[in-house]
Amino acid sequence: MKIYIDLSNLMAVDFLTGIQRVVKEIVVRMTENGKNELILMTYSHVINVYRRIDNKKFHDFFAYGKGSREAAVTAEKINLTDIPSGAVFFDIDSVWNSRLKRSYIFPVLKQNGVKIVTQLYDLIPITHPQFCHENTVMNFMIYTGANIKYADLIITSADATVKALDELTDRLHMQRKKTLVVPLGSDFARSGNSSEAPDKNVLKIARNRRYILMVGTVEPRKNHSLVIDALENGLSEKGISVIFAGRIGWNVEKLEKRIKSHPLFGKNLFFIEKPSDATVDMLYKNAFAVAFPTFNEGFGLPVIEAFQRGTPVIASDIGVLHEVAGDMAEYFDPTDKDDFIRCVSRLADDENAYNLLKGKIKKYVPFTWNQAAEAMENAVMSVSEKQKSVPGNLDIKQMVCLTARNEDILSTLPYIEKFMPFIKEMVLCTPDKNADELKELYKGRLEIKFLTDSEILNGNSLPDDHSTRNFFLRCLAMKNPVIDDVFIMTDDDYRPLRTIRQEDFVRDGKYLAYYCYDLNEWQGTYGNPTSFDVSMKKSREFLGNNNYPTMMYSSHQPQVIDKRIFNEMTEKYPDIISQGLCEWCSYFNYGIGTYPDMYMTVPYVSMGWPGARSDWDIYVKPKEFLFENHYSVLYEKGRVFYGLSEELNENTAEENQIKILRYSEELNKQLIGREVYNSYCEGYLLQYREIPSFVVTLGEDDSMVINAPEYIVLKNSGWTRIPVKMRLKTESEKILLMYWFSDENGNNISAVAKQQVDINQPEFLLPVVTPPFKRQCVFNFRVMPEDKNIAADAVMIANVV
Amino acid sequence: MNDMSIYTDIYNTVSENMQNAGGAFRTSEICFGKIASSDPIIADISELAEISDNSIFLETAYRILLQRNIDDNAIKSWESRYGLPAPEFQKLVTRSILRSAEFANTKIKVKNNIYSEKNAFGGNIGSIRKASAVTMPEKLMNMYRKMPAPMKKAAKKIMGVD
Repeated sequence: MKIYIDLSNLMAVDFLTGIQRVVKEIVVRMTENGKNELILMTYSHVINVYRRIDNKKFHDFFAYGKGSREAAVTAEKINLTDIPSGAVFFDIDSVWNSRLKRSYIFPVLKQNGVKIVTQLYDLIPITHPQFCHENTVMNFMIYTGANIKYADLIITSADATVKALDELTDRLHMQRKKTLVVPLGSDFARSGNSSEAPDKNVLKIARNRRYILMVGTVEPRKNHSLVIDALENGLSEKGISVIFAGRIGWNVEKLEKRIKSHPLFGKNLFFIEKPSDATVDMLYKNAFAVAFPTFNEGFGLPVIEAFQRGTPVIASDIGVLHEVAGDMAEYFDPTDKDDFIRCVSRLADDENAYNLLKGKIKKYVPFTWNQAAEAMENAVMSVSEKQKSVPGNLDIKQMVCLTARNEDILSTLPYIEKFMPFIKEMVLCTPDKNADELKELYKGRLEIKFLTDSEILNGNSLPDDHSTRNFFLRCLAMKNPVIDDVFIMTDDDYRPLRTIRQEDFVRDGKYLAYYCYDLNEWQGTYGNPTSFDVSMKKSREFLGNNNYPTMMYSSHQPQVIDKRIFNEMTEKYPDIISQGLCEWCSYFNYGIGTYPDMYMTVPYVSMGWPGARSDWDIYVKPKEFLFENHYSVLYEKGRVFYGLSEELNENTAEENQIKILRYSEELNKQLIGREVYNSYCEGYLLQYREIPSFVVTLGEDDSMVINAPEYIVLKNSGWTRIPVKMRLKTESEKILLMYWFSDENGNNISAVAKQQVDINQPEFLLPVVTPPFKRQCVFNFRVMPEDKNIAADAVMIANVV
Repeated sequence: MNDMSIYTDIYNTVSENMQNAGGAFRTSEICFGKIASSDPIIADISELAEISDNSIFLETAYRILLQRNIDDNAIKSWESRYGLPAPEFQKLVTRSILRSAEFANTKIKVKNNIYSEKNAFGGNIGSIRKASAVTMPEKLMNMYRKMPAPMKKAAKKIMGVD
């Protein structure tokens, strides 16, 4: 399994306490055991992308102190979209202050079928925001919200945090999260500085002194003041000193001053700033007791670190510390210094009580970092355990096609017969009236089985809308026993271009899922959405709302379907049957989101989708073409397949090669056009720090402003889509965009293109057709809210290259 | 997919916790909502401009564009202009931030910058007839003055200026 870990915070800070210690101890061990493929990353704010960390160098530095953090960072870049479906994104570092907010990256990961596991240390910024810096609280709220919404599993180190999380999700009326408690380890043994000796000056302080130790960052929540109050009010007179070991945190300026200017400072009160592991170890061992007067805690690592060294603990009387320390600690009210003094005095004055407590601690069995790391890694792996697998002896023999066009399916069947030898049987889901004619006309080798509309519908009425009808019929047909568990789903105009084998659908024990787009990016026909576009939108909403990936699998080519999974989806979400979703998108995204190990996502391999390069921008370029999405119009004069045959004949194999060459050339033209535009955007960004775009603001007072780039660069003889955003502060039902190119004399050198704005989709990509020549000219952009009788023009230099 | 309501719900919950502890957030709910919903690398100025309150716009612009809370000195220097119309105030703040060295260091990119110092066409043109020309903004006039004669002629024709 691939596990991606964002270590941006660990790699940036120069201390290893608290969370940083946990991250180090766990990740170092995960790199050692080799159970999974670990991809460690750190975010670069300079280039705004993750960079991969070399696992060995990371291990050498954090386990043995060899090398440096910087040397462990490689030049390899990792984009969020590079993280594959089925991988796990394990958030163990303190990433809430990272620029890459989880509200931004988690939806992207989920969309790609990545599982998310988070180690949640505590919810203190949520439950006790007064103890935290406001920036931390704000960032932590976003982090927590994203985890509640998107995480597949939340690991905590204490039940108290699970309880706090459950209370929060209940309060937010959200579903409770799947959680698992993994206690933290407490051994120092794997420290990079294990051979280091303790600080001699600190050793001098610790020797021959009876002292209370507090370990941890100095911050308001930790309640250092109470211990100083106790020192002033009796402990000092008892000959007890206080040693604080840690670093200075947030909002403690007054406290720091109080410590450092205290009359007892350097006598009975000491502050050891940023001590080494060896020094902390020595301080724990020599302490009379460890004080932990915290108001709130996620776990309380110092408690178990003290236990491991046999040192008694005097702890706040709060739930999480009872959970960690049980009856092995003395408890006091963290708001009452006298209660604290009472506890210390009891141990100081009563040797039997002190020894009794030490005796209990001797029985403490520490949870080691090895155990913690193993338990945590097992927890991470549990989210992606194989729940189902593709049968090893799979033998696909059936194709299922929904068709209402006899002529089309009769033209396509010969291609299936010739190029898909493993297909023995074709199930045709067809209107009743078509079946008889097909029976009579088809004489090929395939065994044809019919599922007529009346058989499928069984009394249900057929929806009017094209996509709704198709989805409805397919969902119902899927219940029919005539359809095999695993089959190839197709349409009547998807034609194989060469010999196709089962391996083109099932490979390495996984179903191949051919995607062509990202549903979130799909615009379809702007301003006039087709039934297909609407079904894409509905599918996106359904999948997104239910936290499934949202890639587009309606790739206009045959694909393998496991009907058990399809039926599981429609049984889980019975309402969708009549909602007109896309069958390909809903099935594959549901399957990949639920059983990621069963699927392998790959770019589509269909030619003729898009039918023409002006239809839409290619999202992913097919590496090869195995199928043709047959459009007769493409064989007309002037179109890409003109002169080639539309029927199977002895020259088909050769002609298919010609088709592939011609179609590839068409696609390349589109890709080159986009490359030119992207290069222009990059240059513009470097020059102005802005991504060029057109923003039209129609003000409440019918004023209109167009913000436009200073210049524009476009590839000639093509279609380039440029971003336009309409900001409508006043209602306008009919807004017309126009653009054209003119020469230096103001003469139009292109036709005037018009586009009606869809006020429901005010941000869009305007397809601009460019002139057939290379020259510098003027690009004219006009906006006319026709119902308001006003207009505005923007003009700029256009380099058509 | 990215329904943001959970973030405002959490804001309200934590805000209540803060009040119960005797404190209050300085960060407004609107600002928090924008932080939660914004792209952390590409800042959309037209989205920021949807904020109508000048002080909230200011705190949000600092969080989104400079990635930090606004400091007291900055508030002092801007608060005297809170009374300006929102677009005017927003333009001043945005341009000031985008020109700063601090912003350059953030490596944040900008899109849909309606307060750009570059091309802005139009204005209050309610009285202009359909398909007629519009007034040239100053920036464009400067460009126009530097154009070679044939281009000037073309520009005049396009803009309907004789």
